[in-house]
Amino acid sequence: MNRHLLIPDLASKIEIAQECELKLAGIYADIAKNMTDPTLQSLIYSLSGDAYGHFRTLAIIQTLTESRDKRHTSPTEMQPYPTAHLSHPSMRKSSFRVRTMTAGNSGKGGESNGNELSSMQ
Amino acid sequence: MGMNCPQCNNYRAQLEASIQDEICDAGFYAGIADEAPTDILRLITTSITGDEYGHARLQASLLGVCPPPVSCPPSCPAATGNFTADVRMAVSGELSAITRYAELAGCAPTLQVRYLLTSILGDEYTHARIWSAMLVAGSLCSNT
Repeated sequence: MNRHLLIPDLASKIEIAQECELKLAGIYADIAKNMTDPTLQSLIYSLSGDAYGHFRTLAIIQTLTESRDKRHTSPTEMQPYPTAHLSHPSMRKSSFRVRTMTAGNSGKGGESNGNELSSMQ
Repeated sequence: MGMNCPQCNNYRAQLEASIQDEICDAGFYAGIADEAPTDILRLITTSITGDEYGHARLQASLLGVCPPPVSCPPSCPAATGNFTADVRMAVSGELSAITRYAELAGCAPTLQVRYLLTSILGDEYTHARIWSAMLVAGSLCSNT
């Protein structure tokens, strides 16, 4: 299930489908909220759960195709099952560096401060 | 992702409002737990209260580095003393929350944030089902 083996714009279609499922989940819940009959309400909001399930399935497909793509392009980049290495210190909570607002790109990852929400209003 | 859309304006403020709602829900559900007719229902309601608290913490973590201005709390409903009526209101609240998290997730700046928010959406859906089950639980007693 490699993205390269699929129709070129399939990935974008999966993204569109994901967005639709997410919106549907919200719409079904909104419809259910206004249902006075409890049985109908349960039926309608179960559709919301279905849509959420579809969203999750599409997210998994998207993640799998992306990870496989990464493995194909750079076999050393992805190590899904990292093994303990004696030369590396063990990862502990205390080993995470605290990033301040003024620290810029000094945080883990380097290219970004990792805080995409800070760029939003 | 959807952050350039008009409905995604003031995203951090929307998250802040969502935190306030979760805190509000936690208080309301604690009141429902207090009026639950059985210990089992009280325990289940208390666990849902804990979930809402967890949702508030998750979103507070998302805003941890660049929090928006602190907002005023919404007018939170108090438990009325009528368990059934309050559970019905809880179902309604959970359904509103599903809609809200679908919108917030759609506006998320990254896939990671989107999936964190949809995981909350899934919790709210599960809560709605649990509340509904509580409402119909009495019917089992008379039929068996």
